[in-house]
Amino acid sequence: MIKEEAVNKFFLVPSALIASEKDLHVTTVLGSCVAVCLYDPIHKVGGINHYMMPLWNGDGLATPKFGNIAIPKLVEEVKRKGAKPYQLQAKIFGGANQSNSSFNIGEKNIHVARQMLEELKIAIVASHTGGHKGRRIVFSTGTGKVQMKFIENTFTNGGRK
Amino acid sequence: MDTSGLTDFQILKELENRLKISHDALADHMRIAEKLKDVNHKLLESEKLKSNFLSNIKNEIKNPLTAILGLANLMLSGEVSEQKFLDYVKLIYDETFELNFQLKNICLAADLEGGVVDVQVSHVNIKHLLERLIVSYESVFHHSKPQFKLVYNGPELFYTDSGKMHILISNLFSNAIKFSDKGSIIQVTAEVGSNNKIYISVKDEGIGIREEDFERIFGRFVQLDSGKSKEYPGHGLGLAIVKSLTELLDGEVNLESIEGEGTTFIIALSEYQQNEKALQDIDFDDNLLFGEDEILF
Repeated sequence: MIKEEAVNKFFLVPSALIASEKDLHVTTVLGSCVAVCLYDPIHKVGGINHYMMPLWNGDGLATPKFGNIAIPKLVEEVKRKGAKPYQLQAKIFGGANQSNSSFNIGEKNIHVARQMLEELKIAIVASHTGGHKGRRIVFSTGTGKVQMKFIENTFTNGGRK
Repeated sequence: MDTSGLTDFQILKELENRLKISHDALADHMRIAEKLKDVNHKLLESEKLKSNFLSNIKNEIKNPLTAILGLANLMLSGEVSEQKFLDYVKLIYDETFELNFQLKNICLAADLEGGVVDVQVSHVNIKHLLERLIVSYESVFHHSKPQFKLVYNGPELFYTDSGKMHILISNLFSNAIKFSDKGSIIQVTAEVGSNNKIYISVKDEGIGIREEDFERIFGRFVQLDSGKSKEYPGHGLGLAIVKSLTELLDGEVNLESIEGEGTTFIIALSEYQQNEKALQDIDFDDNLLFGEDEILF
């Protein structure tokens, strides 16, 4: 097992993604945002994204702020680090509904993750989504494990107040 | 479901309700699937624009480099007067300034699209940042004589990413100069609004933008004048970067414009609130026993 001090910690900001063949402990804070964690257990390569909106509509840059950009980009990135697409397993988190508005971004974010992963034929092995509370997760890129904790603060977007 | 104690009618009603919920969910699913198709189509369109971008960028890099090489060659010949030598150094500086800006933009766009961009926050003196950029732009674009006027009523220090702010404002200045006539005024203002947001606006007296183009202008690789008759230089990345960077920094960008009179770009930013405790509060170790509210997947 890798010693604690040998493990690098990393904070993932919204609209970013990271993949590594080394064991990184990536923390991120999710409100209505969704994080998709991908892991190849054979090659021990993992990656995680953190997107805020379901779909990019051609406005601004095509960044991983949007689910339909962030998910394929993450797949590319884990492949680049040595993962094989057919070995990939996914875990999805976040997508809380933290406002009373009917325009539920969280739900749409979850929807896009499930739909795109199905299209990409990547199995979802675990998920903790929806509800009304924000979540803080730590993803280990070396083991694929995710530790999740609810957070009391009212986060509305991207883990920021 | 537990049907004890329910009449047939109530069971039927409940089943109807559940069927309706599942129908609604299916309709939602279909709507998103439709939208995804539409978005993918837009993505393909945008990829096509990428090829325009590549031909634009060729000129944006090749032209300044040719000028720099030519000037350096003249200086090396040893046949230029001291005054000319200094003039050439200034020209090389100006060309390099522009080239450096364009390359920074391209690298940043690649980082933003690749999701590898980080936010480095500190207390930034925005007034100082604006003043320094104005001096740089007035000096480099001395031939088009832009007259910057700054009215600063913003905070002394603002918690944000200084490097990103630098590029954000540079793009707004560069855009304003590009669409300004020689000697026209570029008005820069900064003020504090509600919720302690800072509003920075850059107003030019240029050709303006038609209202129907307001949204399109922020698209990547989009240039309102394109093709062979293209009058204004550029690669169509600047405003897309402005939009994506502002959003990364917890803000938004808006514009006001009257055709033939000028355009004002306004960015509204909140102080960046990254949850710094996130790293300290939770220490990943699956050998530990977790509290009730912690779950391991």
